[in-house]
Amino acid sequence: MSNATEAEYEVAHGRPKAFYENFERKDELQHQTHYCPGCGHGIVHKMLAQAIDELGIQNRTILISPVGCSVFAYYYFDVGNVQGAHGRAPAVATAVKRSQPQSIVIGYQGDGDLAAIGSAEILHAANRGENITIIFVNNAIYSMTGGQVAPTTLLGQRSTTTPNGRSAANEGYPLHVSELLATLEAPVYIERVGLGDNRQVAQAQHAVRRAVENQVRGLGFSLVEVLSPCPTIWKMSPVEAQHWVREVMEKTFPLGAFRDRTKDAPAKAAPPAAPALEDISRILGVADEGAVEEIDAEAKGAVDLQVRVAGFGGQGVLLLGEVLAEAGLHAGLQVSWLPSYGPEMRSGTSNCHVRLAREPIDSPLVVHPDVLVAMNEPSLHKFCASVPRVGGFFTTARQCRRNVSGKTCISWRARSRMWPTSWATDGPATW
Amino acid sequence: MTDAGKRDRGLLRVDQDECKGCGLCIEACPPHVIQMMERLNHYGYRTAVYAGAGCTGCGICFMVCPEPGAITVLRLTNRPAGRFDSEAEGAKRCAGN
Amino acid sequence: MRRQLMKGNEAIVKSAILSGCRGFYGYPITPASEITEAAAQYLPQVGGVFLQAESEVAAINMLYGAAAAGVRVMTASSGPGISLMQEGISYMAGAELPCVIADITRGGPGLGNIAAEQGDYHQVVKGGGHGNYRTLVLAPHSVQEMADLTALAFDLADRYRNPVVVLADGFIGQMMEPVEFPQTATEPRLPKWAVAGTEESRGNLISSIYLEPDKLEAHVRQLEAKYYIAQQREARAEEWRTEGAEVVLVGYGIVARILKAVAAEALAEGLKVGVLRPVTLYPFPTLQFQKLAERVRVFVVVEMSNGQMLEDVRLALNGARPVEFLSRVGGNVPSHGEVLELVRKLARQTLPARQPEEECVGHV
Repeated sequence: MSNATEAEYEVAHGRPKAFYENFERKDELQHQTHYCPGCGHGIVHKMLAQAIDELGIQNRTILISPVGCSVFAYYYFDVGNVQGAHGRAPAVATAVKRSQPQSIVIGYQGDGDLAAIGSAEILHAANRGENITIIFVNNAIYSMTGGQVAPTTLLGQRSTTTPNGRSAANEGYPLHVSELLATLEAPVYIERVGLGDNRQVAQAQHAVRRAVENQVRGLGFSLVEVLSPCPTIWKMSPVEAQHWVREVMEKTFPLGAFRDRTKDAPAKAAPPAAPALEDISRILGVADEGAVEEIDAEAKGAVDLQVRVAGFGGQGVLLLGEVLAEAGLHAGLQVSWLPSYGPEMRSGTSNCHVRLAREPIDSPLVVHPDVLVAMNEPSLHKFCASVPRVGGFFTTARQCRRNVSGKTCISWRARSRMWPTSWATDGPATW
Repeated sequence: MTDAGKRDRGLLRVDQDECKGCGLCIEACPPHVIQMMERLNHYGYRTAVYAGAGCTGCGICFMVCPEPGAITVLRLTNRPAGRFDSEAEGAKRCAGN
Repeated sequence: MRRQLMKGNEAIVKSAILSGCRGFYGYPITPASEITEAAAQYLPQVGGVFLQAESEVAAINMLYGAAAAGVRVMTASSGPGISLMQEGISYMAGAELPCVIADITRGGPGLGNIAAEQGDYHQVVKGGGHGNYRTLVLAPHSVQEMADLTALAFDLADRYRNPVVVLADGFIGQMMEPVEFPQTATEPRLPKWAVAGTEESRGNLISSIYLEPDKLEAHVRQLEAKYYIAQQREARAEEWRTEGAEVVLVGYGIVARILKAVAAEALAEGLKVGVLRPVTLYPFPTLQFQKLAERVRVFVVVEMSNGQMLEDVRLALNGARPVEFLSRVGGNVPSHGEVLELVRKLARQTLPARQPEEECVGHV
């Protein structure tokens, strides 16, 4: 027995400050975690909490917890907490970080969350080089739901959905997340560590700390993959599980840094300052000043003009309609413009509906146009029946073969396909 | 193990309520000064306990323990840092000396 | 105030920004892509965040994150994309996060087509994801409403801490009409419940998890209470020339515009026709229906669906009046002619002015 009194000792390693003293969000047994004895999560949590303490970022930290055994990470970490949907932590983290760039955003995920259902989100967050930290806890199985096969389950490893062991023919090969992500250009730090023995644990602590520190320094995307024991689902004692990590898992998943550009990576630039609130309407182009003055429509009398413009896509059908609508707006009228954007755009009868009126316009759809501007023959044929008895056509067609009695037709010959330069009337031609 | 009259560099406390008896600390401890209790605590776990002497204060048990506050490692004041200290801890100590 | 000609899809974005929206995460889909494109252009210019997400699933989860961090945020999509977002929307409702989702509808089910249809009503009005929640739904029928209702959507989303859907069809999104915008922009403010990476917000938690049944029940009842208050306060509908109407046409979006034109023509023929246009689809303007039911003979629901809003109209009327139904689907629009023909037929039927209370009068 040592003959020093306890008073001569000071705490060298104790509960990190980044943990709550008492886990009040937990329904019961609030003095201990819900994790199984020997679970890797507890060990990784501690490394993360220590890193937060050492870097002094507790107030800035936001932890995104996943779906899996660590869904309840928010019971333990005394930081900002956002619980996210299964697999989506990288997407949630992306938006949290971009919304609050001064925060330190840490995504924490298991193997199903990250490598199965969340495979798109992690790929794209890494590819965009989001300035976030992802802690990936890989225990080669789905533990929370009772032990189903994971993307990282080893060949031959039994699970509840691979009762005869994972086979390459049926389930494919274990997914190597760190190696995969290291093929991307953007990530600055990717390391696989294990909890297989004391030395590995120390290295893991070092890696977790680096992954968080990289974000504090604004360097970019960091991910640490931790090979982690799951005694309960693996049906081993905690010490046996630790050995299995070292002796079996690490044969398939080698440890090491697959990407480390932290020495050369420049810090990401801070976003530019937002403009003043008063400038926003001008930036959007909706400010009152610079508006064209409208001519008073009252003085013009009753107007209710319904126009259909039709032709093949590229002739300027929609533009013509827009110009007409703008003219009506400047004349102080109510206007509407509606394009048809269906398959007819590809054929010869792209068209738009334009209405100009004194009174508010009810339907923007022009069923019976007062004026049909038909810029090719198919359009003329398609729409001429819709023009009521008293109305007019503008057309580039040389002839209209339909007999539509009583309708006035004005036709012109265009010099170019796009714009008519002269038009001739032969008087009202009755058809 | 300590010589008679010498203080242990370190001192280990295990919270008997929080410890779940996983045994990782026992496996990890280099001088093997952590043992498993024979009796159960009132949550039904056999818990780890310090043997009473020989702790070097290295902190490895703390690092492998999955519970946030089950293990507390203390060190004699004004002693050099252990092998598994964090850099910040070490720097602080050196500055203090 | 200045009037500008603008597409509905562009008006949404400008109104959103003026309302304090500083985040847009979306994925392209016809006929809503222009909203995402306008957001890409304008949001960075006002110090906001724009990101094209890798899928609608990612987009809605980015909305979850941005809203959790206290930012007014929106997305835009169409039927198939909204379907993908349903889990995320459920999460946001459960975690009580605000956001605005524009759904510019198209033909379905499945890939369907890109023409306008009104087949998303159930999905957005009834809470298309899992669990006991709803989204508030606003249905603009003009470009001005695309702007005004988007501004309202952000206010409602914050007030009720719930997702709000702006539901429009491809016509309303694509058409151009004059629109006026407020000149003063709303200043973004950080809600006190947000997780913002600050000392004050460190204790905040955004989560939809309530493990204990008693706690989840209490939480769901609390969501219910919010929806109940919304029903009392936020239901909106437009009555268009319903004074003296015997036949009332009911529709939303582009259909409502057609119904106004039909009613105008029918009135000119001396028929007693009006239009009741729900502006909020959830909460449904039940009270307006019940009030009108006291004096009209028959309601005619016209929908570009096979009877989704129809169910809510029947529910609101509770058998008080007969309900006729005209349906077009697949991207076909009810023609002015076919609606007018139905109206003429109904207006000339001799139905008693009031139904005896004992009879069940719901038909169609």
